[in-house]
Amino acid sequence: MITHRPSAKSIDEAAARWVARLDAGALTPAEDTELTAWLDSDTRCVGAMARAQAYFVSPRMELAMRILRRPPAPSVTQWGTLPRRAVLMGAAASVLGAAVLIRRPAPAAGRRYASEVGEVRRIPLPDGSKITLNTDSVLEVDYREDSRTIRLLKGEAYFEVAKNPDRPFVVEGPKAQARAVGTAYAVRLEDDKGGMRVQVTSGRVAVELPPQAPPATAWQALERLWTPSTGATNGTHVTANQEAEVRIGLNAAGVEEVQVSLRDVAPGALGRSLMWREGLLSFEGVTLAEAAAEFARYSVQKIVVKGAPAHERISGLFAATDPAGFARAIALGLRIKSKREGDVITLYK
Amino acid sequence: MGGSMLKSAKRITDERARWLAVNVVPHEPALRSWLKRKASLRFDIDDVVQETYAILATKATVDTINDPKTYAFQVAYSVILQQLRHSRVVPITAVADIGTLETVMDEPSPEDTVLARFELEHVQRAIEALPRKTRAAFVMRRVEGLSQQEIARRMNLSEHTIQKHVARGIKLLLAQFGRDGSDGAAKSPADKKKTGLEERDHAQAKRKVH
Repeated sequence: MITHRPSAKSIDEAAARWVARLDAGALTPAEDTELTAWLDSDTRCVGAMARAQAYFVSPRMELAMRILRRPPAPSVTQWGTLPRRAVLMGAAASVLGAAVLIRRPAPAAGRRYASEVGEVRRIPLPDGSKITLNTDSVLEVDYREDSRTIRLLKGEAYFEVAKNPDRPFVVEGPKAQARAVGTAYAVRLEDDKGGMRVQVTSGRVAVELPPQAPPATAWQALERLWTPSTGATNGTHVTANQEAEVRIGLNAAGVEEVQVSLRDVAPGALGRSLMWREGLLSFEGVTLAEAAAEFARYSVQKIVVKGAPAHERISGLFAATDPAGFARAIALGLRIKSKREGDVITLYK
Repeated sequence: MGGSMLKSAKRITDERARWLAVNVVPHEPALRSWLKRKASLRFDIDDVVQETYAILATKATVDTINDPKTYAFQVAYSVILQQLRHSRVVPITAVADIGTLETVMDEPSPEDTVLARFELEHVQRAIEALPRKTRAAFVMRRVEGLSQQEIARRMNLSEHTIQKHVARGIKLLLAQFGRDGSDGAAKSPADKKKTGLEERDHAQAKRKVH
């Protein structure tokens, strides 16, 4: 469903590389073939190439450079790469620190927040972290000196986490948890069995078994004996523009097992699926039936699609709490009929 | 860029690139700010700009274009209409906005032009913001007219590295006057929450070079 269309940014970067390459001298036959294939792949590439060439030869750029020109005096020894390395090491160290410092607070009832159907609620935390609670959702915040634990009891929420390695930020679902140090991510409970979805927009999140979960397999029980924390050792790391899906399945022996699958999501697609934070729903080539199911989360009005139109694929941006407006737009766009009886809107051919 | 004989129609000649640089590039910020006000139509501004350049670059001749600015806006307008026809469902507001699009078609508003000028000092700031080594290579290439080979020799770096600096310089300038630019910065609502990935990439690029 997600089309892998190159982003304008990646096309611009390729165009910049080609212009620099052409400027260095004649292309090899292989490069020439490659450039032709790239230009043929998308008209936007042709446009980006033209634009990059134009900027490169722009007389106004040249004039600005002339005016700015200072003695370049490039001394080679000054240009080391050390700072970059140091930064990377620092980042690695802080992540490790978080894994070691993780502590397990005794389960305690925290403060409870709930949102009504159609409501999107923003909850600021004392440390500057922000929670955006989606429609019809419930969570508990347990905010302590050494930990920030959120129990997501129903629905979905998006977390913008203020960085603090000493105070891990953990979102607990019924069967799995998502732990972060400083990042932004959404957690959505998918079914009543404990399935959930974790979407990360920046930073890194570990999806792992919660501490109180009974060991699902003998191997995991053994592993737990050796490691005081379930975190980090058997967790799945989800990074920016990735999505992890937690399913509750049965293993070969017929024992319940928490399964995690990881996939990359195009940055635009992730942004679209998180439009609910602004009270909007964005669809890109989903079936009408899927869109109607999504609307059902946000309003007491339900959309029922009858017959073939249920399989029609649609795109567009809509107000999450206005299913009637959505139905009107769809009826117009697909040339189908719509009728409304009480809280039920029916779309049919 | 050496003169070569058999080039596909999609290869942009130096002559056309210069025409675009003089006649279209200076109006790009105004075009983007105009497109931005049409954001309710749900198109991607970068896509529309790239498609517009593609049409202008591959047009058989540009001799007949008297007013390149108006012409560029008209091309962008046709690209948007094309995209709207392409998408299955158009949001309701779009239907009303297409009308508005038509009426302002020929005239970008005065504030578009004022707010989104491709002023010399704006260009200077963009060049100043380039990483030092990249800027040095860029100035030697564009102002002193040295070849990449010659720049490599003077900076005591490999030709490959110089090529990379030239590419990075172009990339950062494209971003400065496109997606990331403060004037006429064009972000679709869906992209708005990308939590500064681009900024980070920009910062990384800088670190790499310093």
